[in-house]
Amino acid sequence: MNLQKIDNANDHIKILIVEDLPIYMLSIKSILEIVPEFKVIGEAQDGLEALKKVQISQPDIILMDIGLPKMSGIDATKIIKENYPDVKIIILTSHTDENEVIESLEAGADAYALKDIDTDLLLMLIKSIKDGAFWLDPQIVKIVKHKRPDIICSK
Amino acid sequence: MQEKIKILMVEDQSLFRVGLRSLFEDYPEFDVIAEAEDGDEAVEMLEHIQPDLILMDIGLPRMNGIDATRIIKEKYPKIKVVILTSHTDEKEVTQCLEAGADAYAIKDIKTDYLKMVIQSVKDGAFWLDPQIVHVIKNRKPGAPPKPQSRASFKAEHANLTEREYEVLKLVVEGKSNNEIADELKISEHTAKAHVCNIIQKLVVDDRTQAAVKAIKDGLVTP
Repeated sequence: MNLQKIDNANDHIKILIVEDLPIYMLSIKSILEIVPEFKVIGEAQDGLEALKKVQISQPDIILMDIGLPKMSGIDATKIIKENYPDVKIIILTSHTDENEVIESLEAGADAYALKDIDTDLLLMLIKSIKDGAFWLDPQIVKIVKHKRPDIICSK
Repeated sequence: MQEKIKILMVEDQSLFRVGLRSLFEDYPEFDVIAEAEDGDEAVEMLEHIQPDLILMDIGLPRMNGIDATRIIKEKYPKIKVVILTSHTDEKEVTQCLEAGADAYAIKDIKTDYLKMVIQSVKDGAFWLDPQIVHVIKNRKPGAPPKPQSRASFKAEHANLTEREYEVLKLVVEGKSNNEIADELKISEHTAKAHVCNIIQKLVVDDRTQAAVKAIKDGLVTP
């Protein structure tokens, strides 16, 4: 592993974490620290703060909770995607409400992951979503196929 | 110890099959239980073997990967199908997804992504390669949609004065009444009065909600 190369700021994947519960915030940060390529460039506790942080720090990718005070993760996703379309957003939540799932995807989320996701999978997911992939958690796939299969061109 | 993921490889190019086979030698969690060179052969094989997941090329002789996927998903819905192809044609992508494919990957996929895709799709996830995401996202890169005009915002909500609009923009920036007063060269008392009027006219509870509403409705861009 070429540590010199990884130390170059341009090679880092810049991540903004949007999460209102301190223990989850701590947990996500400590998981991301495992990967030298990842750099947590900001934290926000609500959707409004997330908008400000995006403007200031221009992350590559956002890990976005849904249930947030002041402005929900869905609304923040919609606004960020409209104004900063190159920023990737992974919804990372415990919410599996059908309407919230559909609204998140319609808002432009690039992935929808649940908080019980395997940590190794999350780390790989972040890299692939940063590259432009699209991913849905198995539970979310069931919801989408049931409620709005057209979103994934399914029937 | 977790069970190995049983994979059926459907690929007509022997060179690519060799590459995949040697890749999977490094992944003991995967077990390639069979290989087929076309869609017909794959469908026939499934009468005798039960893979967890199929890596399916599209451009195959006799029966192509799209038709094979459709048949397999109808007959064996629990088997996951990962399209692994060089084809990026939108119509083919759509047809694969409509046929029930659980993931669509392009052959230049990074090997550790392929591992992640197989493992997560076997559990029921859905994955699309960056090169074809646009097919479902209908995303047009470039300028974002224009925010709602101030006039239409005013029409929809209360009639904000020019000064109130200026104050609202500063509220969205997170400025305090004191800071707003400094910036607009008015008294703090006047700034506070403007903020109160804005809150009333927008029918919200506080300045934070006013800021959120202004951003959501496109009056002010963040």
